[in-house]
Amino acid sequence: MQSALRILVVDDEVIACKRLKLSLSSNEYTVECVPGGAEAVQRLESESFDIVVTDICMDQVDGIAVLDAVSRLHPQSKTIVITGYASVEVAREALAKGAFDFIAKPFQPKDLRVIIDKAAKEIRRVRPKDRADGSSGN
Amino acid sequence: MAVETPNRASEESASLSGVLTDPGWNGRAEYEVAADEALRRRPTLTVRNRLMLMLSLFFLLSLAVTIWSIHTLSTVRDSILFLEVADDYTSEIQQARRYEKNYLLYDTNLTDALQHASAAQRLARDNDGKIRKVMGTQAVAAMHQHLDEYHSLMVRIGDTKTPGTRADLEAQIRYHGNEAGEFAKRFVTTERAKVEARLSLAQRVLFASIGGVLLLTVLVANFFARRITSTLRRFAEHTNRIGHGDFTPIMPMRKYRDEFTLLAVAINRMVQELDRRHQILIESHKLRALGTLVAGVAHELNNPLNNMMLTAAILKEQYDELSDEDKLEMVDDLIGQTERSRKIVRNLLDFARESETKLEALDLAEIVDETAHLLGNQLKVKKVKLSVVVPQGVPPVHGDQQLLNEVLMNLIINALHVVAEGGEIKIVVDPEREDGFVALDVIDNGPGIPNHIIGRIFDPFFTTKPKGTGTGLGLSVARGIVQKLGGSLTVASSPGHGATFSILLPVTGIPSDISSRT
Amino acid sequence: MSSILVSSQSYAGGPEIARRIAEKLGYRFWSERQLIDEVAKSRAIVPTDLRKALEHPPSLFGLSDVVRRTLVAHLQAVLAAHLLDDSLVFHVPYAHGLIPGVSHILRVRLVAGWASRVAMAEKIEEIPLKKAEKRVAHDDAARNSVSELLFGFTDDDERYDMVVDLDGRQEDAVIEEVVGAMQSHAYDAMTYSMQRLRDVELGFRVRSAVIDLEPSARVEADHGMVEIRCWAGPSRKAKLEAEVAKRVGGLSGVQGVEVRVFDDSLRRGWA
Repeated sequence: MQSALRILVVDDEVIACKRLKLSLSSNEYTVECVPGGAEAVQRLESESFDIVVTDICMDQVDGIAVLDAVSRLHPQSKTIVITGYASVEVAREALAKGAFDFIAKPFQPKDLRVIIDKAAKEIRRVRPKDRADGSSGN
Repeated sequence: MAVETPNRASEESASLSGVLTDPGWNGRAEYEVAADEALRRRPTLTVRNRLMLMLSLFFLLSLAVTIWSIHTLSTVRDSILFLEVADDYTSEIQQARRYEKNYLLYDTNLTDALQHASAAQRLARDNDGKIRKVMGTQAVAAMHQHLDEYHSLMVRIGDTKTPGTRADLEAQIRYHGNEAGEFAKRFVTTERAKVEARLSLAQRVLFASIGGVLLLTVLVANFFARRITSTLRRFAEHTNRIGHGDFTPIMPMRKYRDEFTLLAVAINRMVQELDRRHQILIESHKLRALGTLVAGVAHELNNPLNNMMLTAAILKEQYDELSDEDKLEMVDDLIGQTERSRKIVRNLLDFARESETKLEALDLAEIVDETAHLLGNQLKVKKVKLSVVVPQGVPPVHGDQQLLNEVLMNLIINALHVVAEGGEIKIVVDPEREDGFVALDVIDNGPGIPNHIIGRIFDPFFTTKPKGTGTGLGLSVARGIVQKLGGSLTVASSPGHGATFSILLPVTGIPSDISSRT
Repeated sequence: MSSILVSSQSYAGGPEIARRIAEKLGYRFWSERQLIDEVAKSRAIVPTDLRKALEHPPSLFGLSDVVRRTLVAHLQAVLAAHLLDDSLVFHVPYAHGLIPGVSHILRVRLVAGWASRVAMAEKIEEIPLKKAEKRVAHDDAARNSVSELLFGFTDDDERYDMVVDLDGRQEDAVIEEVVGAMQSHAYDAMTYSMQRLRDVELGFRVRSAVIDLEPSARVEADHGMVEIRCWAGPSRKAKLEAEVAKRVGGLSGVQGVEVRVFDDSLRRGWA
């Protein structure tokens, strides 16, 4: 039995945060939610998460900044970017900055779960023996 | 803000339209037709006709002077001829007197004297009418009497030999002869004076008429020059106004139609056409503004939609596991988020809605809030900070909510375009600045407006954005609206220190004759 | 799964560069001719007509607008289907219009200076300078008018994701620039862009299937939900709706169909 992967959900929409936490939490994943980019960067500075799910458009510190923080602090983590207004440019910018995948609002939890599962598979492929060094800080 | 279905809104505006619609917006065509009619309805008095009239007046004047001069000349000629007669008469009298003296002194021939006296008598009788005219009937009658006396006395003295009687007759002859001679002298003097007076009058009249003609020429020339140049200046001013986006037609200023009327009518037609095109462009500008909004609104709308989607999906997936309390919370969220979506859509619709101008008392703070909210995403995307300062107790202003939203939207979008990423836009409401008005400033910390273009920024189609990105109508439309609402929109800026756009709007309660202010 | 569409100005040497980009990336290369032949074969169309549809400016005696739109609709369907299958490099004109924005498909435009294009036209066609100049100018004008007719905008730089000026540059450097862009991850395929491409492909496939019924048909697909809008007279409305729905319902990948027929008795909404 593999240990659960840690997911950080970043969205300034409180309802979305609550629901994502509820629907993503499972045996496989432990989910933590923060309501903004600044809080996310703060959390990332002290701890590592396997998967970061972040909204792009947020006040003050936006999703791109979160993406930068992840690339800087935990390059092996996968970032999934949520966008309210999906444009080709935003998608390319996110990918160029190292996003793992991209999902446009509005989406269903199962759509996001598919992407998270894909990311998880990728993580486990790279780190087959994650039992030992997987989730806790680096 | 009351929620209206479109149907209700149109009914309401229909019932109000009679009172509150602004002729500048909706009655444009009628207004122009009225101008056209007013221009054409005047009686015709063309510049050409005026010129003809003036020239005929000139002609008549000189004709009068000429006729008068001819008349004067002929009377002078008559007088001169008459003077000759008078001279003849005088010389006859003098001859008669000379012979009479010789006769009385030396007893020479009396017949010569008698002959001359009769000749004088004949002359006097022949020219009796003319002399009467000059000397008056009484004097002439007296003259005739003296002359007749003189003649008959001479006849009598020739027959009388008695010295006493002769001496008496002699004295009488002298008296009457003298009188007749004096009369002749007076007659000649009077007549000569008359001729002289007439000639000098003729001289003065001719001088005066030269002066008069000169004066008249100057006046007429001046009049025509002024008439033409002032009309041209009016037209120039008018075309200038058109350049600044004011499409009111030329209204008649004089009582009569002339060549300029056709020009005015033609210009009005052109203005009408320009205005129509301008309206079309304004529509397209609005669509563009709507386009920039839609991008933001799509994002804005996707947030509540996403919340609803997630909530509903989870409610369905985990229906059995969820507690009643959780379910209730989720349903409440669904309702709340639906309400939020509806608000977003309604805001957008409010901006896009076409409706009659509806003047009412408005709370500026509410308008600022609404517009700022509508543009929230644009601001967020550009990381621009918007701060709003509205003091307590701002009196309600007089205006149309939708139009004011549009004005503010245009000003904020404008500011948004010029400020750098992370810049700042400030909105300050100030009810104290001018009596009866509320001031609203939109202040940006962009690069400011260079001096050489600041005078043109409200002109239609003026834009500093690259070709194809701006319509150049935003500010011109904004100013047009504010002016229609009885306010003003001005700008102050110095390069490097941002720009401040200030709107002054009349406070409700001041009876503003908005409909007449176009 | 990323792909590149390369459009080049005439006589700019585009096809060769596109082929070499494909070689360098290990992607399969399709020339314009190959694509046209493929479309012609699968839809039973004369290849010359397709070529005319892409190259000839609209004229009185040329292809009618409806025929041209129909031919291009088939071409778009075939092109999108291939893009969904594999990583490819296509050399086709109007990359900016043939495929709408999909983040993992790079639409490049190769441009060259007037003088070098004229020189190449002189050499290839063996025509005098004056004629070569005329030819190049004619090609540009034709591109713009066809683009305007098909997509509603001219063939401009701004519509492409990337514009490379070939003038005074080594071919290798140009190829390196495009390959470098592809390796930047910006054009990587991902869940969202693949879904978008599937929808684009479905939209084109649906349009290609119904265009003979009504050439004004416009199709949008979103996660398999297909919306078809067309313009027709009121008498045809019911029949057209039923027919379109029947045809589209059977296509693979279609989750739902919505057909909306607008009244065109006043004007053709799509023209």
